[in-house]
Amino acid sequence: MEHLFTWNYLIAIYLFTAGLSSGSAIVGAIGDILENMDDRIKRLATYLAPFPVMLGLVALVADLHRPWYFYKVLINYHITSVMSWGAFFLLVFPIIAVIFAVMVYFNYKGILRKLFAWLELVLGLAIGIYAGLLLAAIYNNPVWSNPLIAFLFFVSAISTGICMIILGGKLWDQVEGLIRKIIPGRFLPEVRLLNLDHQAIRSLIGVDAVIIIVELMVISTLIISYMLRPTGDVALGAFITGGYYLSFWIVVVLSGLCLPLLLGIMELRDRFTHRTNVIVSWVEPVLVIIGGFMLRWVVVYGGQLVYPILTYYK
Amino acid sequence: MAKVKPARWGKIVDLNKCVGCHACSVACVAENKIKHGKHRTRIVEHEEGTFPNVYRYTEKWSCNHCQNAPCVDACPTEASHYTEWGTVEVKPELCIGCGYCVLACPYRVRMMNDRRDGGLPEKCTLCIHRLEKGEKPACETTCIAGAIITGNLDDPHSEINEWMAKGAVERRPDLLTHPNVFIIPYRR
Ligand code: SF4
Ligand code: SF4
Ligand code: SF4
Repeated sequence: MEHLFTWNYLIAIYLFTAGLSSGSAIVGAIGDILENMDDRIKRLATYLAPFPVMLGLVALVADLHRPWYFYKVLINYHITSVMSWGAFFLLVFPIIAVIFAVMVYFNYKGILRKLFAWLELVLGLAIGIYAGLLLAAIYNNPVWSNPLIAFLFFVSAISTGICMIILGGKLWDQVEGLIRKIIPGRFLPEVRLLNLDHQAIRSLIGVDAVIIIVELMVISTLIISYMLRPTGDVALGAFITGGYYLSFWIVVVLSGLCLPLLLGIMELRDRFTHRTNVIVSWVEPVLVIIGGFMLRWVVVYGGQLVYPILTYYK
Repeated sequence: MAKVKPARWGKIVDLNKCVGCHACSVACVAENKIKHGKHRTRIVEHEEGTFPNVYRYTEKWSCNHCQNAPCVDACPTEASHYTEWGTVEVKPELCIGCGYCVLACPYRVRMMNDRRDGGLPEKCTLCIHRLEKGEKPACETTCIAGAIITGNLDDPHSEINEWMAKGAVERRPDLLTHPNVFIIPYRR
C-alpha cells in the first residue's frame, strides 16, 4: 500500500497554482486586448498572473524524485508526452507574464504590447488546459482519462483566478507601497490605487457566479459520463460515492461552489448591508479558492486510489 | 549456451505451472540489488468463478515490455525508451524522477525508488545483463515450477516459440500495447 500514491499533494498544489495563473492571465490579457475592462481589474490580473505558477513550479520540482536533473526536461522534448508540452509552456509562461506585467505597470504602449497580450492569452489558455490534460492523457485510469476533467480544471482555473483578483484587490496597495519603498519613486509611473471598490467586486462576483454555474454543470456531466462507462463503478468510487467523497461533496461542491454561488446571487440582488458586504467579498473568494484546491486534491489522490483495482485483468 | 544477440526477446509465464511461491520476486530483488520494499515482479492472486465453483491461481506479474508502450509515450525526456532487445528500459542520465511513467503504465508494474536511493523508476529489464552473457534471467532460473521461459521470439526454432504454440496470449490485448511478455492462461 505504501506505493499506492506516486504523486502527492505537491502535484495538487502545482495543478492548482497553474490554474490560478491561467485564470488571471486570461482575464488580464482579454482586458488588455478589448480595452474596455475596468483598468484596476486588468492591472491586478496581469500583475498577479506570473506568481502562483512560479510557486507551483517549486512544488513540482520538490515532488520530483531526481530534482537535480530537472533541467533535462527543459532540454529534451518528447512530442508524445503531455508533460513535455507542459514543461515548455511552464518555461515560457512566467517569462512572458512577467514581461507583460512590467509593460502594463510602466504603461508601455508600443507595438510589442499587443503581441505580448496575445501571447499571454494563448499561454494562459495553454497552461489552464494542460493542467487537466496531464491527468486526462493517462488513458487507462478510469477517473483521469476523461476529457471533462481537463474542462473542469479549466473552468475552475478561471473561477479561482477571478477570486484571486478579488483578494489581490484588497492587498495590492500595500504591495505597491512596498515597491515604492525599495525602488525610488522617480523611476516609477504615478501611483495608481488598485483598491477595488464595491462596484468592481460586484462585477467580478457576478462573472464568477456564471462560471460557478458552468462548473456545476460540468461536474454533473462528468458524473454521468463516468456512469456510462464500463469502469463506472470504479471511477465513481474514487471521490463521488466512496474514497474522498466527503472532501469532494462538502469542501468542493457545497462550500466551494454552492455556497459562493448563493452568496454571489444574494450580493447581486443587494441582500447585504454594507457591513456584511465587506465580509462577503472576503468569504466568497476564499471559499472558491479552497474548493478549487480541494478539487485538484481529490482528483489527484482519487485517481491513484483506483489503480490497484485495475491492475488485475480477466 | 552461446553468446546471444539483440533481437525481439520476450517471456512467457505459464499460469498452469505457477504455484505462487514468490521465489522469482525474491531472486529478482537479489539479482538486481533492489532497495528494500521495492520489487520488479510480484505475485498476483486471482479468485474466479461463482460459489461453489470457485478456483484460485497465481500469476507472476511484471513489466510486459510493450512494443507500443504507454510509459515510453508519457516520459517527457525520452528516458524510458525501447532497446534493441525488444524491451523497455530507463536511461538514468535522462530521468527526472517525475513518476509519470509509473502512472501511465496500465499494468502498474513500475514503482518509484525513494530519493535517497536514486529516485529512478524500478522496473524489469528482462535481465539483459544476464542475457548478454548467455544466461537466463534470475526469475527464470529460480522458478521451482518451470513456469517462466525467456527467449528469442524472432527465432522460429527457439523454445519460447514452442510455448507460444501452446496458446500464449497477451495481457489485456484491448490496450493495444503489443507486449513481448505473454501468459498461458490458467485452465481448470
Ligand atoms: S508493462 Fe508498463 S512499464 Fe512495461 S513496457 Fe508496458 S507500459 Fe511500460
Ligand atoms: S520518472 Fe523518469 S522514466 Fe519515468 S516518465 Fe519521468 S523522466 Fe521518464
Ligand atoms: S527478468 Fe530479471 S528483472 Fe525482470 S523480473 Fe525477472 S529477474 Fe527481475
